[in-house]
Amino acid sequence: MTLASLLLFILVVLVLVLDVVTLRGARKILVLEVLALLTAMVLIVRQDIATGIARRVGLERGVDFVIYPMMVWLFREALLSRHARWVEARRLDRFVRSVAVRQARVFELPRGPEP
Amino acid sequence: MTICVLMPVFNEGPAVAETLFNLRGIAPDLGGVEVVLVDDGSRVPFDAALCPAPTRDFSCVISRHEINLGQGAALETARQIALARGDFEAYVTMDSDGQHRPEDLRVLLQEIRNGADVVFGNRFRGDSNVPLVRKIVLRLAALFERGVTGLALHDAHNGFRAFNRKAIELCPITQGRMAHATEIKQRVAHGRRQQGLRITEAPVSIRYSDASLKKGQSSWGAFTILKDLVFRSLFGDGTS
Repeated sequence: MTLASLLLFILVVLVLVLDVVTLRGARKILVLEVLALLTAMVLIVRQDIATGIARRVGLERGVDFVIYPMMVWLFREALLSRHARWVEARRLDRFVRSVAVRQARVFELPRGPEP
Repeated sequence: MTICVLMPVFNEGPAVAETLFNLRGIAPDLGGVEVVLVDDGSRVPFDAALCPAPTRDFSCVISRHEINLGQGAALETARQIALARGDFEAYVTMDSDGQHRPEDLRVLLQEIRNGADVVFGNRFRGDSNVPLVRKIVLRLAALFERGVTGLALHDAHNGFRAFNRKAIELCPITQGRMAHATEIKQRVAHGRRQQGLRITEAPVSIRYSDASLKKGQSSWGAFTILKDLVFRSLFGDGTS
């Protein structure tokens, strides 16, 4: 195992431990993440497996096999989350505005006490 | 009333009261002014006691966003309230911090009476003390907007503008923050192509003070505006 592999391996273990603690309430997400991270750990330790798979589909390096789809996925996630924030912001605008329009009042001088 | 002033307010101090008093002073000459003031979630809510007493020629409608949404959003709220208040000869967007001179309403109103549907204030033709860096940024912004909208105007992001009823109805604002100024020009340009809106510029004077420069947009805000415009073109459907 190279130093880079070792550092990556430690990082994945730390992330795994952190999320096992913080994602207790979301079991399905946790299971999915554990599966993904365990796969990542195997591929980090046994880089020859990733490289073998990559070469079979025409890529030179195993890491490219992971990075290319990840870049596509991250780009899609970024766009989707931006869009979701945009939609939420418009919804919030409409809500706050409807309250403001309903509560708009013509300013009048406060009346003094009745004689 | 002849003129409806749409006025967003955010964390303004006594400058708002001064602006309102000045507006009330000039209101009789203009045939009456109604101000629709929208407090855009100021930390300390706008105090209605700062409003001058209403007269036959002057009144004030006050509303508030419970959270800060941005100047464009406050203007849109004011626009909707103004449209529901009835017919005015001119609808004018104006800053509350004292940068805009109420006396310039005369020239804006006159242009509307001369047949313009939309009048954009041009600070470079008025008696304005624009700092050099801002002047350069605004000239570049005007060029950019000319490319985006096709409108050959000489000023950019000047909040002093006037519309008649037909034009203001064609200009809903979806940009909550400062990109609304470019959006308004895009709407107006669309209105010119589709409905033949007549557009003109009028000289207005903008008075920059240390306080207004500190509070107002920084030159770097241009990048935020650009980003907001890109996102709106990507995600906006033109109605939301």
